[in-house]
Order: sequence, then C-alpha cells, then structure tokens
Amino acid sequence: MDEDRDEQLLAELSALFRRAEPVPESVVETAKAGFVMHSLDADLALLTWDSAVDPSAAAMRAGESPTEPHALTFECGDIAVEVEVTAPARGWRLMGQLTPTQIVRLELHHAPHAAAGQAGEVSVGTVEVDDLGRFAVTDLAPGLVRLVLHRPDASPVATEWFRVD
Amino acid sequence: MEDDAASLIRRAADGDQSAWNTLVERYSGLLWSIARSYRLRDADAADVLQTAWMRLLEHLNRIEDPQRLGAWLATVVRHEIHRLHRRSVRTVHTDNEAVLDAASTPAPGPDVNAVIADRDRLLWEAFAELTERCQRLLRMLVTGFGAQEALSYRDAAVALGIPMGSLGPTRMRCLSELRHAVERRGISGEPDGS
Repeated sequence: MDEDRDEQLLAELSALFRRAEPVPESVVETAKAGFVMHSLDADLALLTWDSAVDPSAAAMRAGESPTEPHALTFECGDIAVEVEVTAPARGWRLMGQLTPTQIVRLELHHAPHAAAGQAGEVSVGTVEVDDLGRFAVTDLAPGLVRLVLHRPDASPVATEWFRVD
Repeated sequence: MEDDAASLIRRAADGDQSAWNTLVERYSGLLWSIARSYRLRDADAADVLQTAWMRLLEHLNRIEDPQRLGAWLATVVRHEIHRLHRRSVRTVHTDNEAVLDAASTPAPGPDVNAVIADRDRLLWEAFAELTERCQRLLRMLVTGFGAQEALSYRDAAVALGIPMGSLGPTRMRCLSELRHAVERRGISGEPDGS
C-alpha cells in the first residue's frame, strides 16, 4: 500500500516538473540544429590532460585567479595538440602547439554559448601555424571551441569540443 | 523500424537527422531536470545541455553501451556542472557533492505563478522543503517517469555520483519526507484529476 502511494506521488511529481519546468523550446531546437552544424567526418583527438582537473595542479591553484592559463592536451595517435586558454582584457586567447608540425591546415570551430541566441551556429576560421607548429587565436567570444587539423592523404583530426569561458 | 537507443545512435552516426531529433526529444527533459536540480540559471542550464549534445555528437561512434545512454548523458551534464562550479568558485576545488551544495547560489525558483492548480503549487512547496540532496535524487528518479527515458536505479546512482546501495534507502527516506510535507499542507491523498 505504501508502495502504491509512493508510485502515485512520484507520478504526480513527474507531471508537476513537466508543467512547471518544461525544457525551453529553444534548447531543444538548438540541440537538433547542432546535428548538421557540428557533424564532422574526422578522427577524434581526445582530451588526455586538463590542468583544471589534474590533482597536483588543483593543489597549486587553490586561491589563484581563474584567469590563470587553463592548459589542455588532446591526442590522437601520433598527433598531439596542446592549448592554453587565457582571458586578457579583451576576449579570450588560445595559444597552442601542434605535434608533429607538418599539419597542412588548422581550423578553429567556434560555437557561441546557447544563451547568445544563435541556435546551433558555428563559425569556422583558418588559423596560422608557424614552422614550429605554434599558433595563437585572439579575441574569442566565450563558447565552445574545437581545433580541426587537415592533413594530406588522411582524414582530418578534430579535438573534442572544449569550453572557452 | 526499431526505436531503441542503440538503433537511434547507429542511424544518427550514419547521418540520419530524424534519429538524432528523436534522441534529443527523448532525453532533453531528463537533462534539463538534472541541470535545474543543481540550481542552474536557465542560461547556464542551456549551455550545459548544448555541451552535452555536442559531446554526444562527437562520440556517436564510440558509445560503448547504447542502452545506458541516459546515464552517459547525465554524467556529461554532471561533469559540466562541476566544471562550471570550479570556474566560479575560486578557492574551492572539489567534486564533493556536499561542498557543491553549500557553494552554489540558488537560481530563482520556477515561476510558481505559472503552476496554476492549487494542488500543484502545494506539491511544489512541499518538494521545496526537502534537502537539496533529496530534491536532486527525486528529480533524477521521476523525470520521464513511466516513459522510455527514465533512468534505472543503477544509472541514477551513477548520474548522482552516489553508491548504488545507498540509493534505495535514500529514496525511501526522501519519499517519506515528501509525503509528510505533503500531508502537513493538507493535500489529500487523492489527486484532483487535473
């Protein structure tokens, strides 16, 4: 009997949440639109190190300003992408290093925050890379970013999306 | 045509937009409820969900256990929320749930005026009396109640970051508290049919 009452209460609660806090339509539409905007035929370079979660880094960073460089490493096979994210006065900045250095073309894909009101839109730009595999991007608006490396005779490699904010 | 998660993921990975749309429709409610259960403002909750869907899209070919997609998505949401907290809380670096509870600033509650029926409002107020942890647990358990996207106990425990063994007893305790809060408000045991 108690169980029936519990089930009934849970059912009412569920219906209540749906009425009181429905998912905004814009959130659903953004997710659907993302399928076209964000799909990419590429190998995935996984996040293998994140200074924000590394335990030793966390111990050191206690009390430090959140604008300290956030360092990330992405890897796929023999390809590595190291990135530092900083927030100077105007816009966010990425500085990074590719290994190996013989990548033909580097793209930055940028998806603004959902709240910015541009459902699913992503902008793509080419990023200059020097002979040592170094690159820099400035004046980034907050949002989600990924780096896509294009190579001759091989599929592109895309880092996992990471937040710049 | 099959409609289970594995089939939808496979079809979406092959470029089927309608399969993707079904996944979005099926799980958005759960993810939104989880985000709200951590007291995120609407804008932050929208960001967290956007990240979760983009994360699924890039991992479509790598989902190991499609039948547990709900738990996978819920875990991504939880990690994103923790990342948000780490970013905004300068001196606290922890994934400890209790600390996060203390550190989070509550978002404005739902517009209770939008909840028209008296019984709804009283039930909501009763729910709001519960501890953060009970609210979060019950939300995780009831979203999609009776529908396909509801989380199993095992997945709910993973999504909440608590041992599965503690889920049952905690559920009983939280439901009991909710029932008492409901009774204190004089809400009858019978639904009014609304």
